Parts: sequence; structure tokens; C-alpha cells
Amino acid sequence: MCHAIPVKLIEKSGDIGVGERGGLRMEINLSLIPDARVGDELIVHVGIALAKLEGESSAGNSGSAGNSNEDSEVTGRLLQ
Amino acid sequence: MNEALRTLSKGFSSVRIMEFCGGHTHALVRSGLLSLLPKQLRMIHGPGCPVCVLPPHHLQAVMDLLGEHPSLTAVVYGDLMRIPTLGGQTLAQMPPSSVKMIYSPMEILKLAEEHPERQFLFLAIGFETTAPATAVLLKELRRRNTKNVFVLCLHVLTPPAVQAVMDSFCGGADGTDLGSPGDRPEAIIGPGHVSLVTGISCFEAMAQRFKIPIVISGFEGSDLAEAVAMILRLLQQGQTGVFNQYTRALRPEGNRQAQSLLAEVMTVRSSFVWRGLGELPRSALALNAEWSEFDAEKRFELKYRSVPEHPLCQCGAILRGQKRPDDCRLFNKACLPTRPLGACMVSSEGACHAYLQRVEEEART
Ligand code: SF4
Repeated sequence: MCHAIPVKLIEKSGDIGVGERGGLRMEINLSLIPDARVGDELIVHVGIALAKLEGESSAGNSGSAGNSNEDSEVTGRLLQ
Repeated sequence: MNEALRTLSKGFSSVRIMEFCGGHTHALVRSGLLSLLPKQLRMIHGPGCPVCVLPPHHLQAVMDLLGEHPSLTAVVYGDLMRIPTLGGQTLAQMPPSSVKMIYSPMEILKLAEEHPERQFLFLAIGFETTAPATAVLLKELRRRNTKNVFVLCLHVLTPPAVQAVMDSFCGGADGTDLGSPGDRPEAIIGPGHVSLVTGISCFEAMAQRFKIPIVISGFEGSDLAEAVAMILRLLQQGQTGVFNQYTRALRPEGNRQAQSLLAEVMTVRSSFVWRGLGELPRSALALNAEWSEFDAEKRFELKYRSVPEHPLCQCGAILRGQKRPDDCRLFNKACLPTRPLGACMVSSEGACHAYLQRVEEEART
């Protein structure tokens, strides 16, 4: 139920968009991602877009103040 | 990655990690990671399965209400259809005009327009991930001046549930818990999709209080492997706090639009009863007074009666992370996804359902 899926936005008209995933199309409500653009990859849950997927490289890390860099390093090392 | 995990875990004699989300439990099993993890690592499956934590008396009250109001249709997410209530009855057995299954709450708008002669009661369940969809629906109902849709708001909050599970390892309030502080998780894999809405700072107090790292993770097997590796590294370094593995989607601040919409439409209940975790203060949401015209609790008289669960079902202890599905004598015997005896077998996020897949995989290989 908390399942959310990445969907590519292929049409947008106001708060309503059309998304595509694996050849299937679905209507997406965009009111919580107002700056969504056609071409964006969105994370969609029960028909509502909740977040935009950023390219892996462009995403910064976060975490408790002061340890975010450490964190990215951990990730970087482990992925090698 | 497995090699990296093995190397990292060498320094530990044992590590207990709780994944909060049922979606993570499912991904751990589906990806095979659960079976491949180094043996020192013990995964404790958390209560993050919305259908599993909902006590069945809510469903029973809705089913009773449907019996009293022939023009009423309950609208539900699919996972609720097969949850057993009194006498093993489920929503799936009700007449089709009484129950509609939806994927998105937005479908209710069309239903309500096409059937002005009927009233619709939406059973709005789920964690913070799902609550914004209910709020978006409410805004749209008001904009369209819809009068025949009512929302039974049963959304629940993640931080109090995480806290309750952690506390229960010190002996819960009801004294029934088997866990001891020594069994308590040393790290948590936090909820990726909940955090898309809430942001990650709501878990900070917990990380500090229990002096643990909480790593918010995505839902691919590779995300979870990375989250586990991050945890091992953080434990080695003695670091506590909240960390973000799911950086491709999760911004630390969450979705501000969703947060302000929730604040506009909902209010925190003073307490709420959870399956397995008992009554938790400030752990669930209700519609606020501004939205009472759509509030099913105001519009209908919901009568609650107790719904005893199967006496051998271990769902409660499983949701507290203190038992595993295969500790239940009914697992994969009397209780199967085709005829579930408890909620943890119904939903794909339920631990019993996930474990059954594992059993089936193992039988195939
Ligand atoms: S296997 Fe079935 S009966 Fe046993 S704990 Fe899980 S849901 Fe309950």
C-alpha cells in the first residue's frame, strides 16, 4: 500500500498529467509537484505524484548536520 | 555488494537491524537479499504495513454500516478486501454495489458523479505516504461541491510506531512483550516513501534517543543492500543520526506542498489503537473541524464492537518485531494468501505474505 512507482510524465495539463511506465499509461495528479515537467521521472503513489527522481549523480546527500559528506563517501565506496 | 557486506560485517559478532516498512520486507525477500545477508546480520521486520496495523473493528463497523444503509458504498484500497472480520467475513463477500475497490482516491470523484443517488464512504488508510492523496481528494470534493462522498480518515503516523516498537523491547506497557533491551534493533532502515512526504528530520529525535543510525532507503534490492552497508559502516564509526540512502528521490525536507496540505485538512488524534502495538498517543490523523462536512465519523454513527482475531495468529508479536512468520503454527498450513487467517498474510507488505514467497522460492530452487 505504501508502494510507489517511478513513472515518466508524458503529458501535462494543469494539475493533471499522463504518465507512462512499461508501456502502460496512467493519469497522475500533479498538485503536490507543481513544477513537474513533461519528461520528468516522478514517484507516484495511488495516482498522486509525491517526488521527482533526480539523476543519481545530481542528488546531494543529507542526513544529520555534519555527517552528510561522510555519508556520500560511504555510499561511493560501497558502490565501487 | 555481497562481498562488500561480508567484509564489512566481519567486525561484528551480531547486528540487529529493523526495516520498518513492509515494502522493504517484501523487497528483501523478493531480491533474495534476506537469504544472502551475512549470518551475523539479523533483520527484524517492522510494523510498516498499513493494512496489518489497522485493527479489524474499523472494518467491522463499516460492514455493519453498509448493512444499515443500502444506498451506501464503501470505497477501499484492494488490500482491505480480504481482511477477515467477525465470522471470517470479508468485504470481498459483500454485494458489488456495496464495495468498490480503487487504486487511486481520484477515482472516487468519477464514481460520485456517475452515481448521485448513492453515498460513498472512503476508508482512508495508510501512513504519511498515502494521507496526502486523501487530502488532495478532499480539496477536489470541495471544489466540485460534491455532497455524496465521506471520508473515514484512519491514516497513521510512522514515528510513534517506530518508537513503540523500540520501546516494546524494554517491556511494553501491557507487559506482554517478549523482547528485552538486549534484543532491541541497533539500527533502523527507515521508510523511503513516507519520508518523501515527511522529510527525514522527524526521525532525528528517535535516532538520538536510542543512539542508533537510521538510514532511509529506497525499495530496490540494491538500495537495501546499500542501506545495510551504510548501517554497518556507521555502526563501525559509532555514528548516530538520520541518513539518506534514497537520494535519487528523497529530499531531506520532504514534500512541502504535501505537508502544508495535510496541516490544512487533518489534525492529529489524541490517541489511536494499533494492531500489535496497542494504544499510542498522537499516532493517527483525523479530518479537522473545517472539513467536517466530509467526515464519515460525523455523518454516520459508526458502532465499534470487538473483533477477536484467530487465537493462534501471531500478527501482533510479528508487528512488534518479536516473532517471525515461521514462528506461527498456522503459517503456510492453515494460513495461506488464498485463505488468510490474519492481516499479515493478506497484504503483500505483510511479513507473513513476504515469507511465504520465500518458502515458495526455496521450494523452486
Ligand atoms: S501466518 Fe497467518 S495466522 Fe500466522 S501470524 Fe501470519 S497472518 Fe497470523
